[in-house]
Amino acid sequence: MQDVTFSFGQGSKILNDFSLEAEKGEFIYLFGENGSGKSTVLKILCGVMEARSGNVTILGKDPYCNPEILQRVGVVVDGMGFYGECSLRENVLLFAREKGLRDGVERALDRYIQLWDIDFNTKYKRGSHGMRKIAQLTLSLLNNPDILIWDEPELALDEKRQEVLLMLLQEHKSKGKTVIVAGTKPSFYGSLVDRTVEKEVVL
Amino acid sequence: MKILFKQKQWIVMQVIFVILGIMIGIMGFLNERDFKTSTGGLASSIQMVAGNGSISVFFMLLSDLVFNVEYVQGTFLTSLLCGQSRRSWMFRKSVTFYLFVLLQYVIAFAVMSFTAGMITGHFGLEGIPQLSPDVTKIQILRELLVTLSLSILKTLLLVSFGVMVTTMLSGKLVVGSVASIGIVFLAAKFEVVLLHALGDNASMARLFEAIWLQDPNRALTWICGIAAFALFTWFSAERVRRTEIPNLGT
Repeated sequence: MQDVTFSFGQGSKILNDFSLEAEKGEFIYLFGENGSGKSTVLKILCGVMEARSGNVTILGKDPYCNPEILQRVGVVVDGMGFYGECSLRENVLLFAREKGLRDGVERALDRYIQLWDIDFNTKYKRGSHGMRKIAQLTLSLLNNPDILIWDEPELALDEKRQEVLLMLLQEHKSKGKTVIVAGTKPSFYGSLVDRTVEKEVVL
Repeated sequence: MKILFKQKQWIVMQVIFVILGIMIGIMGFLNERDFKTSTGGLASSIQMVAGNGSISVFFMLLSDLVFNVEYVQGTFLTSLLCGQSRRSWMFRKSVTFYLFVLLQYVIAFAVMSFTAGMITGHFGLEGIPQLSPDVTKIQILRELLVTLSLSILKTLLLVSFGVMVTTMLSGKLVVGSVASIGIVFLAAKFEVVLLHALGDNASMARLFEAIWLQDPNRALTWICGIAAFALFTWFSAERVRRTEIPNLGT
């Protein structure tokens, strides 16, 4: 994204000529204090919000005009939800179909279920915050994406699952794929991070 | 579609239809007591459905299920992040929802017929007004089918209007469906006032007849109904395309 400006309605600017560029295989940590606009940056990058000005491309395409490009990306941002009456498993499979995934999805899902070691047959509405987050992370990984875009993925995970998370990120990075993670704790990711980009509050 | 049948609104609707079935059953029972004419559950339901269209208005209570519920619970955002375009997502959801409404229409019909039949003790077509002897059964059946088809079109039209209103009030559950029902009632009252003010103008009356889909034997009724249904569906998709995603923060 290049020189992106954004504000909600006529409100004050959240992004003012903000630029972010990621190389293939790079792990970028988008760091910033609360309310600095990190989540907004990620949502604009995914094309679910439209920048007021500037250019946004992901895998060579504008995601706002070409949403199908997200079938090659794995995203977890705030505000995502699943169907409360369905189990975590049903939800992941249902949305995997929306990503265009058909063959081998169940097998791939079973592998993640084993790794995370939580009950995916729990109804989403009965699941804890951590279980819901894990289901969303799993959905984002199922399509073996070229880019991962995650907003504070470690939040709500216990120590054991945080280790799984780091292992999955390591695995993803070792395949030469790109990761963009936003949050307030870059130290958690240690040596995985190639570059930290700071998103400052626009005054 | 399975998800739609798990929503609380759907369960509330079934309760409403059971109560309606009990009410028309009691009416049939009282008719039998006072006039010694038996009334079948099926006949009562047909008369209810073919009546003033109040059944169709009930379906508007479900309007939130297409977009607003998905918007509030975040599944709309999840779909977008899975690579769905807003417009095609909305069209797909609308088609599923309209099929759901059709299915629900049949369920409502069955629920009301059965409940009313349980009370009157008759489940068939007993009590349908007798027609002249030269009217064949096929003609009666045709009449019945045309009336039911128009009632279904009316339901779809009102529901598509309800959906359109809910897309204009994104994130505000219930407000959209209640507002759309209110608009329909106000429009009906406005029609009465306008016709009265114009001294029962015949062409105006015909226009309103077409708008409210009252005469199944006129082509204009069907054209108006289908055109308005398509327009509301298209407009809903356009609204969704322009809907902003809020940033709630973590």
